[in-house]
Amino acid sequence: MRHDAQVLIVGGGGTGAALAHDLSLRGVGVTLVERGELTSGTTGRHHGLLHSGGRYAVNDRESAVECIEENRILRRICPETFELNDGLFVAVEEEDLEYVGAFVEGCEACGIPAHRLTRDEALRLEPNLNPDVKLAVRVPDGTIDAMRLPLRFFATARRNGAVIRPYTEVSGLLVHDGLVSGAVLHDHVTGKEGEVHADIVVNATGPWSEHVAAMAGVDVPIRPSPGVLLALRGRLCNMVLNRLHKSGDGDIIVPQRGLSVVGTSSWVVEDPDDLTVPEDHVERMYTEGAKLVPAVRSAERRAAWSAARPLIGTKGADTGRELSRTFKTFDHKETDGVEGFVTITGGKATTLRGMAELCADVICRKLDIDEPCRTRETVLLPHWAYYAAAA
Amino acid sequence: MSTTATRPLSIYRYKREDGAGRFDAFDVPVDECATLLDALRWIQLNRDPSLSLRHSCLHASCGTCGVRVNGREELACVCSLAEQDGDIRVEPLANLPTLTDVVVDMRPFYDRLPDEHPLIRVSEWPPAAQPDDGPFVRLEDCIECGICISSCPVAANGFAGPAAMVAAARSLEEPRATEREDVLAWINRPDGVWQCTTCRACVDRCPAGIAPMEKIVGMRRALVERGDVDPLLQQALQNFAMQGNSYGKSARRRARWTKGLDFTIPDARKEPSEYIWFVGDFASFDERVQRESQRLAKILHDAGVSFGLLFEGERNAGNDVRQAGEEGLFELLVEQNMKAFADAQFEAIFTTDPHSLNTLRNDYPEYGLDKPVYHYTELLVDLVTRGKITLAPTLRGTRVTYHDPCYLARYNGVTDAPRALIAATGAELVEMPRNGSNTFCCGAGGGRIWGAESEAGERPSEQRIREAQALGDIDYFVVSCPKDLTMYTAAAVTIGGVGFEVVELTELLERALA
Repeated sequence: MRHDAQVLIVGGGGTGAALAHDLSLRGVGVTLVERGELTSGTTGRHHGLLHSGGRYAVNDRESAVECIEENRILRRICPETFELNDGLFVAVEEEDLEYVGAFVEGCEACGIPAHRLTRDEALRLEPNLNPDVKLAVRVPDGTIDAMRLPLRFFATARRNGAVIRPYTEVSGLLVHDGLVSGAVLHDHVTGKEGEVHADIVVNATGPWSEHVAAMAGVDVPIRPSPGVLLALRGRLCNMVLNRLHKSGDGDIIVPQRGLSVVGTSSWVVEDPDDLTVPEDHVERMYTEGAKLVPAVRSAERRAAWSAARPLIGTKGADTGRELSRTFKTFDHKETDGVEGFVTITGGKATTLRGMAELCADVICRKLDIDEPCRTRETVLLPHWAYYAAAA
Repeated sequence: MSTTATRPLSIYRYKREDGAGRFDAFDVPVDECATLLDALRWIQLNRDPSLSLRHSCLHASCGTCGVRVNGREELACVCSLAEQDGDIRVEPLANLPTLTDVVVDMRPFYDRLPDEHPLIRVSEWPPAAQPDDGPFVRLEDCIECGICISSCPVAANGFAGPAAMVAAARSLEEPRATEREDVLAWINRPDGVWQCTTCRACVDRCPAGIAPMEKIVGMRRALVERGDVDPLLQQALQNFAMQGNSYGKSARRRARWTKGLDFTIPDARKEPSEYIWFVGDFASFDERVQRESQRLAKILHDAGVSFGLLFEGERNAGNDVRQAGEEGLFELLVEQNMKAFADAQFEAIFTTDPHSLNTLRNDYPEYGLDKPVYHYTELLVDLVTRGKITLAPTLRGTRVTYHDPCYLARYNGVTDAPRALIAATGAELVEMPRNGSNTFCCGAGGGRIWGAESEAGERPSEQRIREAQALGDIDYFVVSCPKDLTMYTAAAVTIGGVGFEVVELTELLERALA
C-alpha cells in the first residue's frame, strides 16, 4: 500500500505549525496541507496578545496556568518574536475596584507575577490612559506577531524534514472500513488533484474542524465563534491594556507595530468562511476602547475585521462567551470507532506549543513511537528561514 | 428581488498546469465588499473556489496581501473598493515570481538580503526594553510585503531593492558597532544603494509608512563621507566641483545652444526680465536636447515672453547631487546659483528640467530663494490661458501617450499641465497603466545616470517602452523632461521597431501653433 507520510496534518494555522514541529523533532514523518496561505484562517487574524494568564486568573485557573507556563517557554524559544511590553489591567470605574482583590489573588494562585500600581504610576507608564484610572495591575502580557510566530514553527519543522504544502486543499478523506488512510487533495498551484496516504490524519482546522471531521463521517463539537477587531492608526499605548473586570467586549487594546488593535466581541456562526463585520460591533470597540484610552474615539480607522475562534461546545450556545477557552484532542478511535483520525481543536495562540505537545503524545502512542517532546528547549529558527528552507 | 449594485473585477489567473495566464471577469456586490480583499474572498466563496489568495491578518500588519490594482501596488485588506475608479484590474506583484493566480512566491524577497548577518529584526530598540526604560525607540516597521520591490523600477535591473536597504538602514540605526562595517560594505556593493533612481515609488506605496528612498539617500551620505563612492559617479561629482556641470565641459559653453537662434536671449544679469529660464545641464549640453531648447526658446520669443538666461553663471541645480548623497557639493552649487540669481532682476523662474524644478522649488527657499519656480509646461498653460499662445487642434487623429517624469509628477504633483497642452493640440491621449502620480521611472534619476550601468535584467526605460507598445497603435511617446528624451530615445532604438516616435512635448506644440 502506498505510504507518503506517517502523519498528514490538515490545517496550516498555529496549531498545525506547532504540531508539525513537535512531531518532526520526534522523528515522525509529517506532511502538512493548508488550503490557502499559511495562517490565513483564524491564526493570522487574532488579537496578537501573548497572554500572561491574567485574563483567566479569576474564572478559569486551568487556562491561566497553561498561559503563564507557555508564555515563559515561548519567550525562551522564540527570542525577538514578541514585544516584551507587559500588560496593565486597568480599573477605570468604581465597580472595577471590586474585582482587584480576586484578580491579584487569582494571579498569585496561578503563579502569574502581578504588581499593583497606583493611578500615577500607571499614568506615567501609559500617559494616554483614561485619566479616571483608579489603579492598575501589571502582568507579563506581550504582543505577538500573529503570522511570524507560527512561521518560526513552520521554518523549524521544514528544516527537520516536514513537508509543508500551502495552497493545497483537502477535498475528501480516504476512508475504508472505519479507517482513515489519507486524503484527496486539490493543488491550487498546479490545478491538479492528488492523494496523500498516511498512518494518521490530523484535523487541525480550527473552526473548520467540524467540516473536515464530517469527511470522515464523525462529529466534533465545535462552535465557530467570531469576534470583531478594530485596528487604529498609531500606537495609543506601548503596553497591552485590559479592563480590570470580568471579560467583556472591546476591553483589550494591543499595540501592534504602528497600530493599536481594539477587541473583541463574540457571537456564534455556522460557517466560519462567511464572516461579517457588524458595524454595531465596530462601534462597540470604539465605545469600550475609549473607556481605557479616550484617544481611541478620534483615532483613524485602519481596518476592521472578524476572526472565528474554534470554541469547544455543543449546539445551543449563542454568544460564545459562555464557552471554555481550553483545547482538546479527540482520538476518533475512542470517540467514534474511526481509526487513523485525530482532531485537535480549541485553545489559543499563546498555548499552541502546549496543545501540540499533548496531541503529539497521543499520536506517538498510536504510532507506537517512544520519543519525548523536545519543544520546550528547542529554539526556533527565525520566521524568514521558512522561505530560505523552501524546497 | 432587490437589486444589488456590483463592480466588475478583472483578475489575473494562472495555474502551473495550464501554462500562460489570463484574466477572468467577475461582478462583486458592492454592499458586501468594502475592501478589495473582501471582494476577492467573496469571489472565492461564491463564484470560484479555485481562486488563490494570500492573506493573513486582514489589517495591514502581516504584509501578505499585496497585489497590483490598475498598475498600483496595494495591500488588498486596506484597499477601499469605493476609492477605485472605473474597471478594477487585479494582478500579482511584479518583480517576484507568480506562484498561482495573484499569489507571488516570497522566497526571492528574502534572497535579496545578505546571508552573513540577519537584517530582519524586531522594530523596537533595545529589543528587551521594558516600558519602565522610557518609550521604546521604534525603528523601521517593515512588514515584508514586497510592495516596494514590485513598485521599484530597478528591482529587476540589478538592485537588491528598497526593503533590503531599509533593513540595512535599520541595523545601522542600531548601535551594534561590530556589524556596522559589514553593513556599509554590503550597501556599497554593485546591487546596493547606488542603484536607486530616487523615483520615490517605494515611499509613495509603502503601506507601513516607511520612506525607503530617504533611508537610501541617508546611507549614500554616510558612504560619501567615507569616500566610498562608485568610481564613475565620483568622476561626475568631480566635474560638478570643477565646472558646475556633469559633462565636465567649460561653463562658458553652457549657452552655446543659443547660437542657432535668429534672435538673442538676454543675459538676465545685465537686463531685467520677467523670467529666468534655468535651462539645466541636459538641455544645455546634450546635442539632441539642445534642439528642444531652441524650439522652446522660439515659441516663447514669438509669444513675446520676457525671459533671460544666466549663461555661464548657471550651475547644475544640485538635485541629483544631493540625492547621490553629496551634501557638501550640493551646498556649493546652491551658493553659486544663488549668487547668479542675486546678480539678476527677475520675477520668477521656469525650467525645462523637472529635477532642477524640484530642488529650486523645494530646497532653495531654505537658502533664500523667494521667487516662484515653474516647469515650462505650467508656464505654457498660463500663456495659453492668457491668450498669448494659440494652439489649434491640428493633431486630430494622432494617438499619443505621455510619460510623467518622477520629479514632476511624484515630487511636485504636476500632472495636469502637460495633459492640458496635449489636449489643446487635438491629439488623443492614451494613458499607460502607470500614469500621473503613479508613473514609472526612466532609470536616470538620483545620480544613477552617472554610475555604472547594471547588466542584470531589463532597464526601466525599456520596460516603459514596452508598456507603451502594449497600448497598440501609438504615434508618439511624449516626454517633458530632457533626461526622458535621452533615455527613451535610446530605449526605443534598443527594442527596435516600436512603431512610435519619442518626442518632446514642445515638438507637438510647435505643430499646433496657429
